[in-house]
Amino acid sequence: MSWAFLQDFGPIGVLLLGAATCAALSRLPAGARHPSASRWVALGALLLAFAASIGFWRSSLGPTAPDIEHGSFLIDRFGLYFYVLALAGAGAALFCGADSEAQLDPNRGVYHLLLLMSTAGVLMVASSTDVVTMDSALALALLPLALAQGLRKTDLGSIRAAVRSLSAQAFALVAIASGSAILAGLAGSTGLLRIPVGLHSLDPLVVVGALLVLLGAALPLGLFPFLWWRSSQGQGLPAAPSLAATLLGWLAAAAALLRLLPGMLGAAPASWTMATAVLAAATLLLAPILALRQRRLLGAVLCLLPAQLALGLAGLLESSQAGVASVLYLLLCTVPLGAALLGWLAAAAAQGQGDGVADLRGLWGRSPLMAGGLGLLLCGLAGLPPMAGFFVRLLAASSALQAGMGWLAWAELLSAVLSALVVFRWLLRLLDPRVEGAELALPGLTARLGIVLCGGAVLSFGVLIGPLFAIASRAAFPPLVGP
Amino acid sequence: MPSDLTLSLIVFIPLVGAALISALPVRTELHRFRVRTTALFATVIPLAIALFDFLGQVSSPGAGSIPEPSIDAPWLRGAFFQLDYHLGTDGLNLLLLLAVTALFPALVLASWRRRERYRTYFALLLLVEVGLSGTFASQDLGLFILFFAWPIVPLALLIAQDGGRARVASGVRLLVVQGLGVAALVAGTMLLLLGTGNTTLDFATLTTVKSASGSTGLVVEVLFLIAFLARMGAFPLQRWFTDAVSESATPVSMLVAASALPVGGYGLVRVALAMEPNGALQVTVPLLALALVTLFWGALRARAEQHLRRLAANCLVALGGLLLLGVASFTETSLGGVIYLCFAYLFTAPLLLLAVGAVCDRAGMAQLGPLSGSAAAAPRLRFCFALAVAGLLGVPLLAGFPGLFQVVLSGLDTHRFFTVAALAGILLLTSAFWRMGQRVFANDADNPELTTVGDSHGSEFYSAWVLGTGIVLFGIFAGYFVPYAVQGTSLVSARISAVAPANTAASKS
Repeated sequence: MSWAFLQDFGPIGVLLLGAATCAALSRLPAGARHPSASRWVALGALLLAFAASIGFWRSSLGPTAPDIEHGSFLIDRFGLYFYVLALAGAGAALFCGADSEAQLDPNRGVYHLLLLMSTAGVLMVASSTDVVTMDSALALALLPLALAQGLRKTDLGSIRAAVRSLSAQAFALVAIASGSAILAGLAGSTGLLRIPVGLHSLDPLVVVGALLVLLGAALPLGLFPFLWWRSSQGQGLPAAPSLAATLLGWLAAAAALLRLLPGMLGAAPASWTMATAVLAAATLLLAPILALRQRRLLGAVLCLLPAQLALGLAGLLESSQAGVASVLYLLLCTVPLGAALLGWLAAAAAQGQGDGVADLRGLWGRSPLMAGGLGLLLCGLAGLPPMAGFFVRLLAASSALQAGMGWLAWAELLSAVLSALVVFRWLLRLLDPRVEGAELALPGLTARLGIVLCGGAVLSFGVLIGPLFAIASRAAFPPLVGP
Repeated sequence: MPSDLTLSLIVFIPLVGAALISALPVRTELHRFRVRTTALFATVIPLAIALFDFLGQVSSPGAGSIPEPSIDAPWLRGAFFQLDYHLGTDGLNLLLLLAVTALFPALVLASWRRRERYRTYFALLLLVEVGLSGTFASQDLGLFILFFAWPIVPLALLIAQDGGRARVASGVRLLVVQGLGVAALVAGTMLLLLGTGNTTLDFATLTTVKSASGSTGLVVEVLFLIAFLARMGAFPLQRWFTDAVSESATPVSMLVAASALPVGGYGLVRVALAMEPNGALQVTVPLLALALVTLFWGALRARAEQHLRRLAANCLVALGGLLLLGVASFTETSLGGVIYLCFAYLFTAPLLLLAVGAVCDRAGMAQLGPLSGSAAAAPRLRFCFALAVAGLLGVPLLAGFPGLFQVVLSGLDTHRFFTVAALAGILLLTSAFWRMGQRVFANDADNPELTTVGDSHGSEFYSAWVLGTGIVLFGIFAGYFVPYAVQGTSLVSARISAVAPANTAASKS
């Protein structure tokens, strides 16, 4: 093993080292360690890996991207973009979910260990150039946090929910693995860059493979047909692992989809584009309708977030640098939004505050800061201008039209109106003059810092769309967008 | 790249005000006074900047036809479309921007005696101002869409928070109709870019390049029309407007009126005509028919209406028909008239609703029968009502006259039948206004159980004074401003004239 190899896999190595330290800490007796020690170790590992990734990114800027290849791993700008995003997302999950970590005692250290392993999994998914490596990396990304949801061992409901979550993630993995295996078998190679060469004809099995990949990725992303499952998934689960599993699940699935669909199946577009468009349209239209029926804010948020993620599928359809860049920009905006919203709900739940209609009615009168923060985040979720969601919708509509799917553009625009209606109803409840219930205190310092930082990102990423989209465009460098 | 920050300040100072207000406490009367004062300052400062900057621009020779760029910076590159942060003023938007900055201090004054939910109300009011000023100041279609969509949710929240029993339903209706309008505008814009092969959304570029032709042009134009007719509250999309005006609190209804007709009319000229002249020429006759239907529908509904606020709302719907008539004439004079009418409506429509709302609020009812003669002993309210109606109906020496005169004069030249029919509609509308004035604002000796309302005073009167001054001043000195507005429309009418012969030839072949 050369020094260069260790250096190139620095971010992943740091995460695994951090995970080992967390494991060691969790073995210590309760009195011999600070309850938050493993959190700070995890944060340190994430920060180091983040700094290393930024260093790689800076060194990759130039007329030609100096990609680093080791076996079936490729560290290119696309991968590095996901490195930064996943590390920031894991950090955001760690900060925003800090208040609810106490639920996991005495297994906090194990949670941090699993979080770091899952983050390392996402990084490996983003770097994979081989179907087998990608499937293994996906398992590493999805399964640890599904396990972490069962760490509240005293609560039977939590364990049942964790088992359900684990089964679902296993189903997703099986679907993606089967789909990619079919495609690899048809092409005669497991290498992502070689598969397109072997897929010239439109074999019906190509369609089956593509559909399986899409179905598998739809689950972690919460897309149709898993919307119903996703919207009820938050009940009973410990908030911190649930938040981390949501964010890292999105990133792992998105990285896999971006590597597989436009990259691998770009040569046979008819096999997957229509299925992707139908999946996107169904999610876009059904998610806000389902959200309208929710009586709990968590349920509504878990419906609307996939509706925003489904906009990214339109970018996939366009299969151009601008299209992939719009997906990357969407992920950049949705990760802090999800972290802040779910973190807010977790912090409120840690204080015993419910998220039902009656619980949140008149919150503006009781706790203006908390209600104002939630209101702004909800506006971000609805894509109100000038927040990032507004531009994401513009980009998605333009991508759909570019791909020749005007009906999908209409579905996107209609979904935006419905999402605004959902958010409007919750805003009205927050602003209700009937001030009932107790005052909601601000979250603890760590969670507050996380929510404020993510909220700041939600507010500013729309205004900063120019430089951020330029970065996303660099990550969507043409060679990655298929042959 | 010009980087004058004047327009940015005008647009975004209210946003700073809204942020400040959200952070202020409201426990004592002093706190509430601070909130009101902050709101007033946040609206007066843009007005002062606008007056200082714009009046000089109007007087410069030949001004108006070419935009005076304030700031133009690239914002988004590399996507399917390019976005610029481009604000500027020209003959089309300068007067409207000035009127918006003058309107909001009047709205703050009209809300001065508010007793509850100070922070939310004034913060939302200021957010709406950002949206309206930004819509008028934008010189980039992407930025225009952003600001066009901006005020919808704050406005819906304002409506849903105060007012009648159906206020929440009114807010939801506004949100859905306006949301669909924005969706139509986005779809139209994207189709326009696809049809023309452009990527830039800059107004200056889009008004010089070849527009989409054939069925694409027609679809784009129809989408644009849906967006702006929804915003105007024109037939058949008027329901949200009448509901919002009749269900919301008085200052909010003034705001709804100000954000509907002028923004919709301006959008029709600035976007629907200037960006897609080919499509506009194809919908001339339907547009004229829609103008008449809107005018007669509004006037007839107003004639039959027994609810005072609804009556006023329907009168305003009818006035949208005049804007459509002017738009469909396509000449420099008529389009200049439309812009000046929009400008005048920013003063006259809120003043009408202020007078009507004051009567309804004080009497605690809105039915015309019991309110008979109720404002007869309130001379200031009577004067406000008379001034607003006179302004709306285009009485000479008031702000509404030049615009209406230009629209009718130009219409008689281009579409005589439709214009004569529209004149009949104006007569019908006048009779509706007369009925309202005669019933509520004149003595009614036959009403033994007369409900009398107190006269306007204090902050409400100052608010009326600001609006009334605008109506009179911009009527008397119209000669100073109208040429500027007409100059602004010269590019649009020239663009339509340029494609008109080609379009006729194509239809003949």
